[in-house]
Amino acid sequence: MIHYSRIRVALLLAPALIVIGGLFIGGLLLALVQSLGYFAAIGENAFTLKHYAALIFDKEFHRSLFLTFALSSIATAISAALGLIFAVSLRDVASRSRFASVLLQIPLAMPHLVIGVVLINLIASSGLVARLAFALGIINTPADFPALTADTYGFGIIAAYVIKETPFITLMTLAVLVRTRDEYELVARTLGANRWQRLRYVTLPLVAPAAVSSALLVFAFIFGAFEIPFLLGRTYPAMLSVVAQRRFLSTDLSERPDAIAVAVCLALISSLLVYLYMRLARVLIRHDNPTVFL
Amino acid sequence: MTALTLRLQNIAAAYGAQLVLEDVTLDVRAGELVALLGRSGCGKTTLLKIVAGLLPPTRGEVFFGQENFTHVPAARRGVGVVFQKPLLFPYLNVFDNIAFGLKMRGIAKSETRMRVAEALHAVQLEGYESRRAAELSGGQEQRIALARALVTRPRVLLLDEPFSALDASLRIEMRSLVSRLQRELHITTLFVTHDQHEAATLAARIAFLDDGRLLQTGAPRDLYLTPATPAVAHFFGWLVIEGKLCATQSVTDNGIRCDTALGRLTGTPRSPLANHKDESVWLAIHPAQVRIVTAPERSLTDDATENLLPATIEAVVDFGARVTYTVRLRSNDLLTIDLSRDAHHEARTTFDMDENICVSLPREAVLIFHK
Repeated sequence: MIHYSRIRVALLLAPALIVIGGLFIGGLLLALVQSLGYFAAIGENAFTLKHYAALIFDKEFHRSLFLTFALSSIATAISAALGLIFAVSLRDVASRSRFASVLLQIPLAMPHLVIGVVLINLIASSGLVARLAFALGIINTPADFPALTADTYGFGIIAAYVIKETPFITLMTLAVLVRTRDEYELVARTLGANRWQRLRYVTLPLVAPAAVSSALLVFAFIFGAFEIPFLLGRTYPAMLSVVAQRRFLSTDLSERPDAIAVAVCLALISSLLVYLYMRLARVLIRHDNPTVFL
Repeated sequence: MTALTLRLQNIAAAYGAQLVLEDVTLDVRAGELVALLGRSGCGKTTLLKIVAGLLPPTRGEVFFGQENFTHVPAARRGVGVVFQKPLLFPYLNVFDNIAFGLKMRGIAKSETRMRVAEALHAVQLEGYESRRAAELSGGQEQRIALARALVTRPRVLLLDEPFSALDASLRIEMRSLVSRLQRELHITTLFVTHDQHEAATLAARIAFLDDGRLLQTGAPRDLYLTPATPAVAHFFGWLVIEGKLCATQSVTDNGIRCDTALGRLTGTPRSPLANHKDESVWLAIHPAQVRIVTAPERSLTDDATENLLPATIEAVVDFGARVTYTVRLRSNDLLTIDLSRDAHHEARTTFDMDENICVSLPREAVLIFHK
């Protein structure tokens, strides 16, 4: 009985699975094969790890990897910190006001591309803030405005991700806070905990799993994301996704396996992070932790 | 900490415009356990939260001993609370959960270790220090919650229906544990419950709260046998019906006759009644004092036959040592009569389903209240 029902489910899902399998898994396998040296278009027919080995000595790759790690970590840390602060301070308002919770969700619905374009219009040296500063006489020419996009420190990239990801972490954390904090705080109050102690020993530990797991997801996303670093980042060093894209679209087809090797490295690191997230979630479920967020 | 008297004076509380407590005055003597009994939503937990400092009263004062604690924050009241749910911090193990209150008070680690060990011994869970809440049963969790409340040596212990989520056998076990610890530690305790049996088992004194008002305080037996109001009587299982003092009233042997939907009944006034004919009153019938007699034994038309009501056996539950009969009265009211096997022997009879019988109510089993 169970056997037949499984076959039936598989048959019903088959059309969708074939399309997804063909396009996604097929594409992935093709890319993997090309990164392993099998690329008939340029006459390479033997499997080799040389494109991966080349990355070990590729200085651009090293700098990009470091930059990707650094920017992803900084943007995630700032988003997580702000998300926690917002969640804790907005908790009472958000649970009472539907308007406040809707307001928090607006940035979530906005595509990254839009955030990137908005930031360029705002903080680039030809942007609104620069013109305003010039009009107010704060700077002599709009060009005097400090470079906040395509800059050395990736300020624009960090700002874009912080704007986009902070509400995500806030909402994830808020969901846990609204559900659990009240009762545990009452217990803590009767046990002699003052306001600071309640924050330190009750609220933060309660939201930590939700904050950490959502921060891990945010990190994994930023690590592999393309639009924002492409729009707001420098050309050199660029984040890994931009390097992979640039090499892939190069007129020199021999760079394509290298590009795919970079992309595969990105995917592996992102997968590792998702795996860590799953492990964390599983540990929390095993402990029957009511604060777990999946 | 030395046991203190807990005194609540004219406490009132409201949620917005809705009054939930009205002029509640209650003393819990030093080292005494008082059960605060009442239906769900009657204001029990609100009163407990006021004592704990988790909710400010709109009026009235809370005294611990001679000291007024009305405006002292919860964190500085030195009150131990066990809630309906154990609410153990899920990210801490048993040791850290129990030690939480001590840590908040800055107690030294060596003393903390000693006091946590004592608390675990008191609740008979030695060796559970490193377990997490998820690894404990419901009863164990509630014991740890009790240990966590006791380890701080509170001035007053407040228990808010702590056993309601446990199964029957665990409840009995926990009651006995709480009772033993309360006596050993001589701690002033307020125990909130909606279960009259639990209240009577644990407390020498019950305070009955109904609709935000404290209706009666006394020994369980007093509340059960001489309820102060129809609401108390109803809660303790009395059948409460409306009636009117008889037009042809004559007071004999403290008995007062009333006309009711069940017929004419003679009862005992709970407090002195002005003898106005046709005055509406409440009558409360105590099932425990009701006797079942077979219908043909007496003539129902005989005026001399007092408080004999025709009824039908609706259900019989035979527990062996006792039998519970549910009888339907002429008014369609149901009365549950619990008879011990001895009572059967006395009556030398048993009764069957659907059998027409009569219930006999002694005057003492019918209390009459002002309306």
